[in-house]
Amino acid sequence: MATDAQLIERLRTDATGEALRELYRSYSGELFGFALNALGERGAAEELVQEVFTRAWRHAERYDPNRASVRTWLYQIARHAIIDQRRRAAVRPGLPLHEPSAANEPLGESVEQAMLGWQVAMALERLSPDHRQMIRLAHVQGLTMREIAEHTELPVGTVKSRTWYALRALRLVLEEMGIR
Amino acid sequence: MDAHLTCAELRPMLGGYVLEALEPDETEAVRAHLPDCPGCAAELASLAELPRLLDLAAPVAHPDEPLSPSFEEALLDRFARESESARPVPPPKRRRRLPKLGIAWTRPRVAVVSAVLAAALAVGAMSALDGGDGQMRTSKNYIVALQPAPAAPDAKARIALYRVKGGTGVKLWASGLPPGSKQVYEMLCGNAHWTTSAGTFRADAQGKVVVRLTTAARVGEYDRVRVVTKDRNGTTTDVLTGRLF
Repeated sequence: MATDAQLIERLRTDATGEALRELYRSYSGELFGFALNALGERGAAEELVQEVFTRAWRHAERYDPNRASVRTWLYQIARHAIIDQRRRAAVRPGLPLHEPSAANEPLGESVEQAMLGWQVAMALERLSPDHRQMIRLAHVQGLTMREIAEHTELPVGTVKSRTWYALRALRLVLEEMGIR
Repeated sequence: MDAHLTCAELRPMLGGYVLEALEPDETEAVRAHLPDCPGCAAELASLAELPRLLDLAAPVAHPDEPLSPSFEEALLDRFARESESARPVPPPKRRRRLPKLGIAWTRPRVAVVSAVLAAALAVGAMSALDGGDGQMRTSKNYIVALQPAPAAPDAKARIALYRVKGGTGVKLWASGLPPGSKQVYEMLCGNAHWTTSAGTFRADAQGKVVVRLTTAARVGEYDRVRVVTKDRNGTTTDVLTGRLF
């Protein structure tokens, strides 16, 4: 089975479209979710996914596997495409794509944050339910280790070690996704 | 809380420490340990950035419905069109001049004989194209009857293949497919060595479908067509099959 980097390499010469199809099937779902969250409108998100893969095959020769994973590269393309979409929308004030972000925030920065946020959410989904629960209770709900132990009826030592393992697992997943 | 923890005792507390979920005495014990322990300090540093990233993660809304398969086909269609137009045009071949034979067509009956021969050849060619094997080629279309596989024994289907820029257009007429609009079918074109998709489709509630699909494979590059279903594990099951040549 070809790696993602090999599929990008094949895009340059593959006339059958199979390499493009494989990449699309691997990444279109999560890119669509990201685009929907970033743009807030389904039609615009669908258009963006098409644009990402179109740019990927047109510029496949620019991909450098030593610099980024294929996922990171596709997200970077998505980021640029969103910035382009928002700039186009900005000159057509009658067609807002999304609620404006912080008034003076640079456009690229807000897209970068949205992209990072989506990828972290994806990384959390790849953790085991037990690990995700520890992170949710401690970070989102703000419970202490002792309170989590009471809530889950687990020994407090187990809660501590599980939280530690959960964060280590999250760090590994993020590294795999190219986020360091 | 013992202020002098060993590394083995301290490490599991680092998760709670970076998430600020330890009791105050535990937090103090970790702080007291770190300056003298590069190993634990390095472990802490590797986790320290995570709370900031976790702040970005919420909230995320998942799409109510996934992307429609038609978007995949639209992308592949665009790819087929653009890759064809981007293909470098070969330089024109230089025609080799044949030596003149100096035959003089002096008699009208020679021209009549040659016209009759040409007509006979044309009829022969047409016969060869419709060889009674369920395939018929017209000037534009190539029509093939597909055979039902055990997964859909009552299915009847035929396809018309026609040349399009960058590949082949396929029009499929089918009936008797297992009813149920949730089932996604995929048409595959290929030969003994490779297979490429012509796209996906669904049948209506009566198991009928008329659909136009496009594959990037060109006429002559493939000799078999299959309609398949895929389960969640990616295992394909034949529903219809056909051979072209």
